[in-house]
Amino acid sequence: MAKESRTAIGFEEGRNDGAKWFGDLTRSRFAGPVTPHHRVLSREVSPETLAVHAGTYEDPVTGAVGTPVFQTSTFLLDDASYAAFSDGTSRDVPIYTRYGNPSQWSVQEKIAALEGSRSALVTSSGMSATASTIYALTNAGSHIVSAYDVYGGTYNLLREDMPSAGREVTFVDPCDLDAVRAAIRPETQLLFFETLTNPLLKAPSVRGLAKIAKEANALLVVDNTFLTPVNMRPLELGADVVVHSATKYLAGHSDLTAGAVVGRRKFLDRIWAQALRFGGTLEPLSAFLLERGMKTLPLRVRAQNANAAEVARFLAGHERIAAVHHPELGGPRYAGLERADYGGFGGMVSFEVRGGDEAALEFMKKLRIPYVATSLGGVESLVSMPSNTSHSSLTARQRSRIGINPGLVRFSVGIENVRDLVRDLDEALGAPAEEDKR
Amino acid sequence: MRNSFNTAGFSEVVHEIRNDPAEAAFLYTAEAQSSPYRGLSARIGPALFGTVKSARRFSVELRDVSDAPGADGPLPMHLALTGIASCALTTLVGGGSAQSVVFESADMDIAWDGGAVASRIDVGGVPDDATVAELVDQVERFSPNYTTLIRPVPVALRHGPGAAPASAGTAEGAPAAGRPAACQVRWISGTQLTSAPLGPEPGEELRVDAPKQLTGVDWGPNPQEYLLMGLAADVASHLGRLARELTGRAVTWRVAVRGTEDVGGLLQADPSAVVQLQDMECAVAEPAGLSGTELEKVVVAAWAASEVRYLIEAAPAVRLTSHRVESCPV
Repeated sequence: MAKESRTAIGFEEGRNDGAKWFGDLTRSRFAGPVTPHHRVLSREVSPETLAVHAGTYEDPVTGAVGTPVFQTSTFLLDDASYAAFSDGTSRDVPIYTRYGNPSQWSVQEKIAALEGSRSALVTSSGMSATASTIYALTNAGSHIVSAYDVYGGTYNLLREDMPSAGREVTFVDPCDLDAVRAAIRPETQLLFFETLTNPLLKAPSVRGLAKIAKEANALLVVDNTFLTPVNMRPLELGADVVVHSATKYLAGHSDLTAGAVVGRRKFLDRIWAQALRFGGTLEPLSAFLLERGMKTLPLRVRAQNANAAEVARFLAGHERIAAVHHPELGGPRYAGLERADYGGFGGMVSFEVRGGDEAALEFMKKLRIPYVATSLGGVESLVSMPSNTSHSSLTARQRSRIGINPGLVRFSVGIENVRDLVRDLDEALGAPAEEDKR
Repeated sequence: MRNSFNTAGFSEVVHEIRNDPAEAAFLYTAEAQSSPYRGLSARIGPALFGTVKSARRFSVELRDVSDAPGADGPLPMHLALTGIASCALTTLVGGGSAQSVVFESADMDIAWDGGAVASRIDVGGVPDDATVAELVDQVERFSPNYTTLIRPVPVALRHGPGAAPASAGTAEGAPAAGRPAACQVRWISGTQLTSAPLGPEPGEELRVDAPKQLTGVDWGPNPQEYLLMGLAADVASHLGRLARELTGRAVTWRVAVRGTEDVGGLLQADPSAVVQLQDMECAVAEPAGLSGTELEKVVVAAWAASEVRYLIEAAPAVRLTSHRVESCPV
């Protein structure tokens, strides 16, 4: 292999030893990093094709059809490596896996292509992606606006780490755009929201949030874990950066932890530098598993969209269920939903079992197909209660305030046959108890 | 990274600006307060780099211009001189880094004597005098704050609620000479520098850096912010002193300053771009307890008395020399 081909596209073109001033410098990175061996497809290609092919490392030595696992912590140093250190371009040469690895670059290109961007970053977990993004895009002395019912890990980061890091955070209802606008301050640098919230499936207007962020000269970062780029591409709606817990739908098989960040490279390079200081590297084998899992992402997500909608409809008609949260059911909470922005609503359904947490726990024990486990987005159905898992750090009053009522169950619908799932739910719920009928 | 200076990052900004000129519009803000109870202080406000905001929290406790010699803290003029010299040195080291010069040191002594600025740059590690001359020439042409010093830059003045800006150059002639001020600014690494007051008057060392959005590490305010803090603090200081002298009232004064920079000029991403600061504006908040007539009288007098304002608006006499320091033998 020619030595220069291991560096990212644009690396050599950006080197200019004859420069006399900044204006003579020629480096203009806007995409990648990818090498000439990584398969780069137009973002106009369909998601199914991008999911299979985008980013694949086409190994010139072996002709392997799939991306090899570059299971190495370090790489040979050469002139390109030294130049990268000298110029501050070490993201564009494989030097050390914490900095970058062709396995990571493959899956980064696939995620970037699916989200309709030119650059992405993968990290060791969703929280690594979120923490690196928030730290990288804000300064001590700045202000962040987020949602009080954002994912528990994100909430804990914002509430427990940001004040000591010099960032103030205001929590609002993500669907109340007036409240979001009222929270803005001159020093507001970042708005952080979820495209579909956990566990109540609120669907805030990404376009509306982007408008507020733009007016405030702030950046809008959205967590697109629940919807995935198959159901929404937030960058096209005005978001600046998208983060994912790739552990969930992107990987899809409950066999790894990973995170991803997508957006313009000017932001991604700063987030990359923060992630490598935090040490949030995605190791090569997990990068391989993530890339392999993503090849079926559109197929899986469409099956989960349909299954979840069917499950939600069944639950909505069951006497032992007090409430069901899912956009397909409509109602006042989704009155302003901009349906054209969604390809579907993913595989999550949350619902309240009559009788409170005890009844919900009994119900979950009777289920035969879904596993009772935390996490979501895998091919298998999982069921859990937010009150004793993701939102256990909140007080009862805080949970009540955000709508996590006793008996709330979060159901991550998999790709099983939906008739089997509905039958299992029906049997586990059983006949309504006498007290529930009153 | 050469000299710990991220040339790749600056190169990317150059090309980002060429793709979208709106990315070159930088806005800096600063505020100062003169309080009869809490003294004189200045702080920076949020900055805007094209489409990206940088909000940081830096403030400086200052010595009032009317304080007796020996009082603690830097004078407003120290902030302004720090802003000019640190911008010059960052421009010098950055430009040198772009052409692969490896620096051992870069220092600048800068002094204001009440009517003129004298400055001297000492550069270590540069191979020959011709390179030093070339680098200093680039400073004189491309450093935003240095060019603000050597070219007249109008500053609009607003005071009172909703007031329109007064015409530029409302203050006639040079202000009465105040206290001389001097400092030594030293390049440390990358965009980090320190500034120490020179002379017998005490003062803590000031830290200078770029925000992390511009490849710094948020170690301190950046050069433009120091210059704006110096202007805001100088005006606030004179407002406090003159209000006491002219009206007998001790009130709290708040002054906000803003200025823009077309960074396409510094980077030469756009050779036609203006290098020096532009759209300079100083807004004085109306304090409680003063009549409109008193307010007008005090503001006009303070504006005329501000030496930092004069430094920016009038382009005073400036002398810059340079010297190449031989490498120290190991």
